[in-house]
Amino acid sequence: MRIKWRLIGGILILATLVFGTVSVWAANGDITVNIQDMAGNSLSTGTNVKADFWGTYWDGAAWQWFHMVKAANVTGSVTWTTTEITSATTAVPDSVYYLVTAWGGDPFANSQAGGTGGNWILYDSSVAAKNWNVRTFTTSIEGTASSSEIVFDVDLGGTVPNDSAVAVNISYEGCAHDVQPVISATTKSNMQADGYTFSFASGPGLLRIENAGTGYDETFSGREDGSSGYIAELETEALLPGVYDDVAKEFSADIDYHSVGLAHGDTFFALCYFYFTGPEAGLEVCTHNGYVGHMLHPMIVPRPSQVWVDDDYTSGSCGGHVWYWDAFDNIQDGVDAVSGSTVYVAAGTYTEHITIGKTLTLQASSSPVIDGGGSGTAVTINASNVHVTGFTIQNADTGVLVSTGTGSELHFNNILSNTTWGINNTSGNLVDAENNWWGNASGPYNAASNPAGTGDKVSDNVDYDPWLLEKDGTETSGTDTTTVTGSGTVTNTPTGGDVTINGTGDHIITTAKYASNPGGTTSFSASGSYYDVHLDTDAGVNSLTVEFCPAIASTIIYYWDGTDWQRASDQTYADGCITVTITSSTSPSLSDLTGLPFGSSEVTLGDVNGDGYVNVLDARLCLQIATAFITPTAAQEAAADVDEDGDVDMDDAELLAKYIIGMEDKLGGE
Amino acid sequence: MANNRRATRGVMAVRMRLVVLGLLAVVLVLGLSACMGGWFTQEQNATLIIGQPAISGNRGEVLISVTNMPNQGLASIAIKDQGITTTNIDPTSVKVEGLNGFTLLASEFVGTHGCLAAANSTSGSVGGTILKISFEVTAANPTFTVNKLKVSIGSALNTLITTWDLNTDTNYYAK
Repeated sequence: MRIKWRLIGGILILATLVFGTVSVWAANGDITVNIQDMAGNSLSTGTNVKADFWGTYWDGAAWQWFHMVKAANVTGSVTWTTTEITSATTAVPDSVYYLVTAWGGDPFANSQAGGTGGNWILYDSSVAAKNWNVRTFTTSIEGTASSSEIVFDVDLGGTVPNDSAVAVNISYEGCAHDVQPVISATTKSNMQADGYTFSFASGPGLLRIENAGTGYDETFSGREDGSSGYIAELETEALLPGVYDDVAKEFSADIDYHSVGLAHGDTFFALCYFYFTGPEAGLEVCTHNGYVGHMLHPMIVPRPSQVWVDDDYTSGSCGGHVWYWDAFDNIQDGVDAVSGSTVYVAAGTYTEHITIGKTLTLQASSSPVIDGGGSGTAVTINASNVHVTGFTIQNADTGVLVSTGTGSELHFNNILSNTTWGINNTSGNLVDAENNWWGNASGPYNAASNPAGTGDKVSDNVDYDPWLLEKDGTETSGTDTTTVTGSGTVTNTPTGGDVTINGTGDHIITTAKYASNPGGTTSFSASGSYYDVHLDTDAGVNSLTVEFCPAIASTIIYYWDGTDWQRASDQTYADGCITVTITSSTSPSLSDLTGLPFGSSEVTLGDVNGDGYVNVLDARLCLQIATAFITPTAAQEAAADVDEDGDVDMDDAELLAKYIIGMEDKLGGE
Repeated sequence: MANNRRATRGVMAVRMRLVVLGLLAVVLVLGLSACMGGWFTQEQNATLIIGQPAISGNRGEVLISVTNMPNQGLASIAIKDQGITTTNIDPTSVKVEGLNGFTLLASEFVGTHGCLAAANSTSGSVGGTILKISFEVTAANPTFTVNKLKVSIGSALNTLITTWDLNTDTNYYAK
């Protein structure tokens, strides 16, 4: 049996798909829903849409899930995604959480999470196998509307009685709060659509139904004590910490529908509600207008792994992100919201005292300023592996206080004009603060290690050497941080040439020129030029090419792997520049580009031992390298690769020998 | 008087026997030392030996050997810039083979000249054969000579061996 759905709506066209905040339901009949934005605009042709479907029907013995949904009037790059959860052992992406129930049971009578059949269960990857007896089937479609009407057909895969329900979550391009669609009409036989205002007295927690009656002012409240009357609580409290006291502020005004999006601070989630008559009639908790609530589909969206901060963001304009889920106008909120990855901060002056209590990367998208306002500590790090890159941290009593944790790093920041400390590390663990500008080319002041420094003061246990000799972002020979969308080229970087990225999505490329050797002792005769190439993430990147200029044909580019200088595997010379191509399979690889120093040197092909001559000794060394009898240094390897094919093998030994005895008049690849 | 002469002859005879025995002893010691390797060392200095062509039918063969090579022995050799001169051999038939761990890296024989390079990646040869060059003879009395100025040799320590002799007159004899 098939149910035809028609969804018509207006959607704001913005940049990024977000989880939708609309659900409609029906059973055993068609439903037509008009969706409008807050301005009352209807769906426009060409609008990008994404719809997620799930639904159940009662087959007389158990609740079953629908099988298939298809859509008409959606064209373009239509992507179908289907996920089926057939048992507890089915893999679920870490980023996806479900609250499911064993249909047929009384969800409200079992308030604790993690139960067995009949209970509400938080399904996430960390929860051990349960006695799953539900069958979840979700289908998504993503594409472009070719008309103002999109028709979705739902194949239920069997006889569908009246006691059925389907949820359709529609994702929009735009900020979540912008989407306040209006369900103008529903047609069904025995369904009830309604919406509610939610408030949380304390979190984490889910919902308890109160005032289940008529009208649209029902209030749900939840708390984590699991006391009677609560539907469920989350096992993973970290998922939903905090108090959601701002929910009403964001959403209460227009929540008249089945689904709401809740967004504040630490998390964002959408809830979908369905009320219908079912075989379990008699449940008291969720009665509304004579219908018995039976099915609750909270779709909990975990914290974002990346958030974007821009002091120009507003609730109505947040760069295609979701306002107050992954988009914020101040850094602290972004730090609080992100889950273990990256907070990107756009240009602007952020007068804040930021406390970072979790592992994350605070990454400047351009040249933001964290201003301490003349007092206090601008940035406090209370966690391990916190990386801060690309900021100006100024005008505080203490620019950065590292009080606990290990492995924190600060690079390519301007740390200046802080009255007492530039960086004060009280953690007892070393902080890597190389390649920062301290306000003066003499470097930071440390009474013991750099008494001549006139820059901001650093405490012990701060590795600040080498430091930048020029203020970050003010000189092309210093540091350049640029965000590239998709594929593009950053010109005139501190490497002396261009940096070209081939990929998708936004990526932040930072290049810098070191004032001194940032790595260990070179095994090659360095020209004294050292660079850094930093990529915020290799996700979505196919390749990165970096030009190092000026150079001559015999210039070799090396990179520091943390232990030794290694020769970049894919490098070519042309027009006065060495171009190093970096992919996932090169050395270094894209994933290595997290602050990777490069160094350039001019080597003489064939002069494997570096004595200035190409002779029989080099031939033997080349043979020894080719036969793996010795492990060459990067410089030896570069010089021994006389055919310039990226490795040293017998071809090189033989070519070098031929060159030495006069059979060949030159070395190098064709 | 006669007795005195007889006595004198007897003493002289004994002395002669002693002299003969002494000479025999010397010969014996020398012989033993020769057998133990003290003899027949042709070179005292580091020497590169280009052996005389050994002809069998229309095939010839030259062994290149070394003796007394310092710094753990010779490990690389290059005879460059047509530093090999040949007569009465077919250059197209020349085959160079590394011996005792030596790898031929390159060789070329054109007309009456040739060059080669070889190395031992793992160790050096203080003394012994390192290369065998075989060829077809085109006329009687083929020759195979090397210009020392075109030869570079390196040690197992990857240092150049700068003081050495070139011997093209004798073959190397193993001790």
